[in-house]
Amino acid sequence: MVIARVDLPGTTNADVSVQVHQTRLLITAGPEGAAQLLKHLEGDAHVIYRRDRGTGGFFRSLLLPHGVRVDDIKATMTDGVLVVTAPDTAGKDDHD
Amino acid sequence: MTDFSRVLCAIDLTEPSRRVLDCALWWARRHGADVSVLHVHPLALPPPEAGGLTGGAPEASIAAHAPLTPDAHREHQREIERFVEQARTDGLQLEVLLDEDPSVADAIVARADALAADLVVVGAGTGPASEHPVLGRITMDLLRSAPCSVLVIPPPAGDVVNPCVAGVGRVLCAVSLSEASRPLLESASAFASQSAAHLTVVHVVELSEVAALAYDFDAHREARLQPACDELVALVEDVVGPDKPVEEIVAQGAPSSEILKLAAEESTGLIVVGLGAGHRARGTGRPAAQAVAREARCPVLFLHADAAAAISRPFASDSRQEPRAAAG
Repeated sequence: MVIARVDLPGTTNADVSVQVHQTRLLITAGPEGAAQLLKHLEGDAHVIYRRDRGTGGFFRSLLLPHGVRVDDIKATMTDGVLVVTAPDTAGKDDHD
Repeated sequence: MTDFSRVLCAIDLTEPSRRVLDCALWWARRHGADVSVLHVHPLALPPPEAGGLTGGAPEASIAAHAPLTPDAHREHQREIERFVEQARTDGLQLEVLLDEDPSVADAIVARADALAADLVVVGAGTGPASEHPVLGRITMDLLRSAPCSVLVIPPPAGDVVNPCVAGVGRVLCAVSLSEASRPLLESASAFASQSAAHLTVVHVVELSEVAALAYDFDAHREARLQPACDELVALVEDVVGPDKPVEEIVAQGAPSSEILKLAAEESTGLIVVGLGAGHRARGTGRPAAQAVAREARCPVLFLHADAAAAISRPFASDSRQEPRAAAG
């Protein structure tokens, strides 16, 4: 099961953060994205997607599908494309 | 946004309308536009005839007067000229107009029509019973019937720099992801480029609380949010281009409050929204846009659909794909 595929051109692995918070997958890139994540976690959760091409900052909040095994979520970054995958409880590896 | 060639500025000779005039002159100077400064002397409506329909007082809060005598008209005209002379008018073609009408909004619309104005600049108005800015009745009426774009200038605030003096550093364009969003964004992008301003494009997904009662609200929300993100990314890439610095935001909540929140967070100098039926549907419907104008602390440009179409005309024959935004 692929949860997310995100274009993050010009971003390195070190800039990207993938976290699970409650039922949501939170993806950030760069300091601007981290600041946005902080706001989101502090309760100011109105913004669910933000990308600033000027600063490279990126933030995205995604609802995790039902049945995802959170502990098995994996993220890979290849040529500026972040792919987040996780098997579901049934063990299937479907692509969405 | 380079097509504004005739600016009509409506003033009421109060201190807040000095800021309105300053902004109109600044805008006209930027665009090489001619300026008409209009003051409307509000007339009292004739008493209703028995059994007749009066339509009600269009602007009940505005003090209505008897028609001006020729001498009083000349004196009023001189007063407006003195008011305008105190502003920076160098390098501008400028005329001063005085009309008399029971409806100030109707008079402004009639003048805008007669002058073929591209832009009407008005103040947001102030509420006598409140310290907070409110959208005046005249401005609300004007937004309903304006034949061209409208720039609404908020009342001065001590802690907010007048962007028409300091320059617009950040532009926030609120799009509904309707057909009208493309020309609107083209226009906002052109303005931001010309001003060397940072451009933010925002779409707000308004989620139905009724839907939350009917089924899985989280699933419903996600089903709305992901397509909105995809549509916004496609629209921005198509209109603004892949290389220009631009910020894309999708937020959820009440459109007006989210737009205002983001504008405040980003110290926005100009909010651009659509003025027309195409913007009723999603994200920046007309009531939401009026709420933005009512409470914004920076100028709000309501871009008329015709103006936006005219601006986008040079691109009409090229091969770029239409954005994937849904109609309506």
